[in-house]
Amino acid sequence: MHRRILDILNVALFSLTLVWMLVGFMFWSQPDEVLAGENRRMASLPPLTFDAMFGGAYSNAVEEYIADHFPMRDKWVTVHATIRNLLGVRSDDGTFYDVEVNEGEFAKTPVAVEEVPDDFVTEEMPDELAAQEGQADQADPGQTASVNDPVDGEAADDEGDFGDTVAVPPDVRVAGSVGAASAQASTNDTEDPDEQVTSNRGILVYKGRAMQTFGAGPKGARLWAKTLNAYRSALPESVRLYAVVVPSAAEFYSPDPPRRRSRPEKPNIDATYEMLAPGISRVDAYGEIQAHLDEYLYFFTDHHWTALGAYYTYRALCKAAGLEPVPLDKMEKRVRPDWLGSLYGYTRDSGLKRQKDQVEYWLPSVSYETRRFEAGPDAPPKGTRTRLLFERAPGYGVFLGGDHPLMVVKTSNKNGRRVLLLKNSYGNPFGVFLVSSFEQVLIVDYRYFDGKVTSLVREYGITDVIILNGVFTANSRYHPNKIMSVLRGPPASRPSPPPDAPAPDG
Amino acid sequence: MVFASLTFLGFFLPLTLLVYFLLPRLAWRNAWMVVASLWFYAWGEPVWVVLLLISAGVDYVHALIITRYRSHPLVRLAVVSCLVINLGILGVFKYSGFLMQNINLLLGTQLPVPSFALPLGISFYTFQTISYVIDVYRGEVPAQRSFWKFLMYVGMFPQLVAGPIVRYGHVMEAIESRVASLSDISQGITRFCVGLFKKVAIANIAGELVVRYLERDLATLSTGEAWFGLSMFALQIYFDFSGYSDMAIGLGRMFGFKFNENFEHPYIARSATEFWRRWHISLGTFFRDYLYIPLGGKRRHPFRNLFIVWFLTGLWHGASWNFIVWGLYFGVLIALERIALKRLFDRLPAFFGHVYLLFAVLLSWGIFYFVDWGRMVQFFGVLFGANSGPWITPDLVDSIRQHAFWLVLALILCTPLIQVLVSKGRDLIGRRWPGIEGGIGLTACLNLVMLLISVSMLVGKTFNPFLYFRF
Repeated sequence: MHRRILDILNVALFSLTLVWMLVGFMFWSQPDEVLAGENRRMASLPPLTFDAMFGGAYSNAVEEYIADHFPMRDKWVTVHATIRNLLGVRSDDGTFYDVEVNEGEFAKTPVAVEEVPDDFVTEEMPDELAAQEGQADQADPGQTASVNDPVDGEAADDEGDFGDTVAVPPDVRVAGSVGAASAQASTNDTEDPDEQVTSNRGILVYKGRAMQTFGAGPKGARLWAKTLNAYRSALPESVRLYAVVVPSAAEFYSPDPPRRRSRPEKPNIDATYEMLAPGISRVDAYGEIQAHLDEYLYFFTDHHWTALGAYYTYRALCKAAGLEPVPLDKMEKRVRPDWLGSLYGYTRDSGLKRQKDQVEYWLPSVSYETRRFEAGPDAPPKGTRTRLLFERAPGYGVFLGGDHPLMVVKTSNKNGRRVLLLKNSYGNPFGVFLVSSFEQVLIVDYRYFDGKVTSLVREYGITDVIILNGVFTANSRYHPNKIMSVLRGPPASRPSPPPDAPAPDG
Repeated sequence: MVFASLTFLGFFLPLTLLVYFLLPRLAWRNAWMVVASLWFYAWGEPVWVVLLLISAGVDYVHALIITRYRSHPLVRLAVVSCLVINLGILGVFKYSGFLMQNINLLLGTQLPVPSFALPLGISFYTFQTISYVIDVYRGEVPAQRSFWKFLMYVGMFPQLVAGPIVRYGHVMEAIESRVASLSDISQGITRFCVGLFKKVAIANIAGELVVRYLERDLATLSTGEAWFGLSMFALQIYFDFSGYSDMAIGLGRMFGFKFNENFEHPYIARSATEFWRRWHISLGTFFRDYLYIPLGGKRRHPFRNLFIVWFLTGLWHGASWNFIVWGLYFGVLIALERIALKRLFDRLPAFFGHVYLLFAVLLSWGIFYFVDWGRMVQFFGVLFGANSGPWITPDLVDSIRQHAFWLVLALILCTPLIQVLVSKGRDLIGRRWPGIEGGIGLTACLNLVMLLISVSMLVGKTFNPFLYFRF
């Protein structure tokens, strides 16, 4: 009799769980939207075509769809992270998360994080400029960029790979074959091992701070230096060219004695600067940052630096450019509290959750007006009016509202200096500071821009070009290749380089 | 479809079980099983369903012919024809590329090398149907007259993809009439949860460590890391494979089938011979009953027979020389054990046998893992100290520390310790509180915990954040 009750209990618990998943998925799953913790859109169901069905693509898509729409997905992910933390012992040296950082650079168009509300008019914009531009600009100011699904099929599917030569259960070989493919990819085309090292090795959480650990060696970022040298030769001599490599948080805050997780960045940056042509100004971001280490320079839970970190680099830039930096207290400071960034998303570390970040930002000291230009043939040729700081966007999205192919900021400065900044997301807060010191600021995200830097320099009468990268992206192959490709525009016949060796600080 | 997926757990399984138990008659349930199994099989690779149906059709007809012309002198031809067709299909899809590569290599020719995606489960169901036809020929089982029922035997989703290789004789009565009692369902659930947990919570994590240590540039690998990586592969392949078998056995049980065991704690064996009595039992017994003994077993040319069997065992695991070497390696070990080693280890304390077996099996996984010869040789070099530098690296210490509790659990689960404790505990409780019969619902709660952990890990596996999508 008792046996029977126990069996009923067992069957009931199991069945209820299965039914809960089935019913939960059918009735409570969320509609397609952005997965907040993962910075990507949920997978959507593809149309059921004959090819998709018989090629296996359809079932893969359904699996992804189910995973993304799983009832209470976020809770499950947190439970998973908690379980992973309980598998072993945490150490005083910090907790290391061996996660693969997904760069997602394949996304052609960034998501505009926030639409500009109707009542938005840049209060900093001079009246005459606004009136002038208002006529030209029929397009709505806050047009949200179209959203492309990033990296299709990035998540390798277990079943798909079962068609293997091995008669063992699917996943055993899958691990091997996927890994083998990546191992092969990373050893392809090796000129110099240091150049090839995937600089990102995982995430270290130490004293409430998450840091990506650096893996490139002391020989420097040769490809990046080569790219800048090519810029130097291509740009007119009258245009000043600045090189900025920004060290990461791990350089200063990872536990010192066992430095093993993260290799030193200083020798790498120095060696990179050494390789630059004489006509390139080397901006000492490292020195300025190092002098203020007790300040809030890097986010605790995100892979980016804070606006303050960017400010000190801006000061270093001004020094190299012969400009007077605007003191911080001359700009209005605002703060957005309680934000958990990308590295929290990766690790779900409970310490990070307690720590939290706040996003501090400073309004430029001058009046200005911003236009945004999209890539592609359908983009409005005169761009759309937008703003520099998106004060309602979450977290780092405050700065420029995300990444755009090209932003042009006209300011009320009259010093004849017109700057072009080539950047990835790391440059966003830095770009905001440039507005205070230049007459015109062009912010080019080389990952999305489809024009030519040489043309921009000519058309806008650019006097200064800054190429800014974090130490991770400077050491990757993808980023220098991308920077190179926008110098004179992509040749029609040459395919864009494969984005191997993902680097994490963009 | 694979068992350890959200699609299976959240959709396929609840729907299949629900419909199955709502159907009042066995004939309808059987029909549903076939439909569900084809759906299961077609998920992801619908094309190969046709091959499965052809293969089943061929064997179904052959068995009927054999039964019909049993007394005819040419009946053997039917068996031969069945073998030729079955092994021919397997050969074309699994081995033709390998064969052509080797011919090109040997003769310096440039013949085109075919490359097929291996149809899911073909190695398993081919052997299953071969065993059926031979058993019919031997008169051990009657031929199945209903194609539908035969298809159910061949394609039953619990064991279709990764075994065990089920003999027709074991399930033929259940196909005709079976009752899944409450106790069967309950035990099936327990077995399924254990298997799922083994696969998701042990094998998958071991797999991550395997990639970390065995997939990297081997020149940077330390000796300690090489041994650790290899041990992780040993855990991965065991928990993956035996987890699948557990799930298959458990699912079968829920539907009223009793499949034979496929793994019995192989890593506690004391010899390679014993290891193979505990590892993938359904494959070992297949080769024993349908190849080794018909060849003459121990009576005629025992060593020739042994090496034929082990050559083919290796080849069955994959179309690559490393699998053949891996099979022959076990052939050599078993031959040596027969000649002398067994007597030696029988005289020594059990400890030596265990150490010998673990060492031998670990090395075998090294051969099994590396399909690329260059990497395999390099790896074995590292294993025996070819790389300079310390054996134990900080990275290795971290890996071990961060997985310390998990490692202990995995190692315990390699032994029968938990089963022994559970049964002892049950006895104890039964003696003290007669009538409760042990358990106190503990099994049910434990199953739930294992299921929930597995689901969270499956969801967690799909966690795929992007750094740069938005910013």
